[in-house]
Amino acid sequence: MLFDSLDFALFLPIVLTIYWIFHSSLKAQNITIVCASYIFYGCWDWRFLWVILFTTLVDYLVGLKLAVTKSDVKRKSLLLFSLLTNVGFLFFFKYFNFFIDEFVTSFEFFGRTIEKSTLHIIVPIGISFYTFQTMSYTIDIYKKEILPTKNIIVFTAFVSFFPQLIAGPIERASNLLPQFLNQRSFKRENVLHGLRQILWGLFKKMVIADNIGEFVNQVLDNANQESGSSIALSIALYHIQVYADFSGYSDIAIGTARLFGFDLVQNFSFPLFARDISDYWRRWHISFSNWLRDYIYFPLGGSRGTILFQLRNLFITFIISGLWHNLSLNFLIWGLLNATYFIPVVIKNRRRKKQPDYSKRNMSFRISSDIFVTFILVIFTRFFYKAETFDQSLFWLEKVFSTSFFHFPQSPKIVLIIFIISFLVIEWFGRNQKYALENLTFLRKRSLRHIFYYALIFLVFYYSGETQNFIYFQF
Amino acid sequence: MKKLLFQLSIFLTPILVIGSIIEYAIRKIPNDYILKNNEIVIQKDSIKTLILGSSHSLYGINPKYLNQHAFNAANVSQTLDLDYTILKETIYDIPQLKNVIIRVSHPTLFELLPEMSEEWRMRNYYIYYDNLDLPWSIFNRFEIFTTHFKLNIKRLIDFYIDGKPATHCLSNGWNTSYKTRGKQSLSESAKSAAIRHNIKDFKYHQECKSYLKKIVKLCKHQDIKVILLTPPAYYEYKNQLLKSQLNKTISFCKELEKAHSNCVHINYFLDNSFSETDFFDADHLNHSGAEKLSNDLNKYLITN
Repeated sequence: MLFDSLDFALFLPIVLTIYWIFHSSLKAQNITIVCASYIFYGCWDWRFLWVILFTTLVDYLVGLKLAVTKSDVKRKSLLLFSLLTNVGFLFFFKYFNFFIDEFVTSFEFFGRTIEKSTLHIIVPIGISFYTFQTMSYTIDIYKKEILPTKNIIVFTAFVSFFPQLIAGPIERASNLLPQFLNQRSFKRENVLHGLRQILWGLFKKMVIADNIGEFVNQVLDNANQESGSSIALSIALYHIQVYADFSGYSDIAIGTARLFGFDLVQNFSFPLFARDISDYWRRWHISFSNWLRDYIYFPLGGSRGTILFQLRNLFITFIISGLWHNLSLNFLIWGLLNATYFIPVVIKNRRRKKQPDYSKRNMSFRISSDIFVTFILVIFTRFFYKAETFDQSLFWLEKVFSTSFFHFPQSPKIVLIIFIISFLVIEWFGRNQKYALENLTFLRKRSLRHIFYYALIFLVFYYSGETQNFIYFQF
Repeated sequence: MKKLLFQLSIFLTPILVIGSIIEYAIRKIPNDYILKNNEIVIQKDSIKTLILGSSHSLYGINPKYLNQHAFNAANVSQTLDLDYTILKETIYDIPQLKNVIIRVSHPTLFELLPEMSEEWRMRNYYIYYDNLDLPWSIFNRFEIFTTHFKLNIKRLIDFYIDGKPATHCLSNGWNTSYKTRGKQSLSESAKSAAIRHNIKDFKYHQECKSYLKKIVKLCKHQDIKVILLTPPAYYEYKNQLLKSQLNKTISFCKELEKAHSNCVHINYFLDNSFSETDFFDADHLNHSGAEKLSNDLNKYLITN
């Protein structure tokens, strides 16, 4: 059940109606969320309901036991059990076929063939996200930063909450769990903000991302015949596509949660306008970056110690990030490139007394060039992100760094160019907010705002491109 | 809460009104499904031969060349489940029905429209056919939910403003669109059609066979002959077909022919009398090819 499908358009109002009928009963509301979330997940593939149920039960019980266990050894064992269960499932479903294929290939390299008994593992959708969420729960209890909940319904709702179940934001128990434990009241501003954010998310996904996707696929599928400039333009647009797609999904998730009275964490903070790579990673997939920072980077030592030590921690963190996406050479290179970009930033920041605050500065040539340079650096990593194989990424790069780079590129339709520019302008004017339409400062009159919303709705219906899967579903 | 719901209702009202108007206006556009649903009722007392199937029958069999009164009830991508549903609905109302011609092409025994990428065509059966026994569905009962908004607007502009005709079938059900040759060359269309029709997953094979068996048994019960027709195709298309799939198709047709006295299989795959000039594309006949095939079928019907 995709967020941009008719099924979801029918599902959501029904669930909301039932949910708010029970507005005076916290328990009934939480049960409604659990049931709705399991139905939502079951629509993807009912066979994997047992996976999410099992990991929920394991972490619920481990959490309770951790809170009452005094012995350090026993506490470590419990935590290890929880982590192994979650990582074990993740590893098995995501990487099993990869290892079988590599094992068979290595035998074939030595001239022997063996029967490939791949089980054709299908990856349960969302597993990369909800396992990280439950791992953070048990780790935080272990670190005594939070107390576990004894309420199994609340915990199940926290793990399976359908707006953020499939592709985040990856929530922390400290933020989301208390919201399940407290009464939610119907607030007008929650509904209006929620609907507005959903609309903006749908626009980003269906108009911007899907239409760019059609153009990008058309060029890259025929890369042999295309010029280096066309390929470069496609990859640049692909970066905008990934942003519009994933942040659009997050906007719909956060907006939907808001309709239920929940406040999820912001997942994107206008990364297209990042001034350097560290600013970029503070704005891109924030919930995942923060998870890696808090559970990988800081435990490794963070930025304490020498520059080399800090860089070591950064490289390890980015390698894990790359391999989380996919166990492939391309994503390893993607992670290494991002870590490499941090080298000058780390060196420069060590000399600064405090972190620069980019949020409120006006545009200047310096800022524009910083944004442009960061944009180019990130686009370079997208060659490895988009390509299916290392050879393919090299092929594209060879074309880009050839004389065909100076040929006039194939360009998208003029309508799409107008949409992209308008989208970037609206994002720029809304960059100091949680999402671009949070406060429409350029449309003060209510009638003008309503016309703008009608225009967006029309564009979503009329210009929605050929439906592409949400990009992050593959992870 | 009440005030907010009231304000949202006011906001949504123009969208609902425009949506309803578009839905109504599209339903008023004549189309081939409405034509077939109406004509089969008008002609029911005189139909002796009913033609079912997909585009291979729709374009390939012209009732004009059949001596006995015939009606072409085929539609693009109509699969066996729908053939059965239409037959079940109409067979008892056509007192003079003697023959049912049903195409069994390369993908026929492996595809069901509700499971295909063209699943959106199901709405035509929900909206424009009367009383078909179809699985329950909400969205398939509305044009606006099953067709892209842009396409719906184009349909409205084409019909109401540009005055383009929206029907392509004659009153006998035959579609006149495939006059001579399509835009692609026969080689190109052979390749693309073979890719589409070579089914990787045979998971609907049993279900499709079951529908064809039901069609044959239903006709047997009413003393109606069933002609399983494997239509002519261009040699380059035939050469690119998956042998295992093709063998299953032909062998099942032979099995039905053997098991049921009212059933016969006519296989034009082995026939080389159709030349390049008879094809609109690699797997569809044009007017000339349809005339040839229909005349052949007419000879068969006369002598059998």
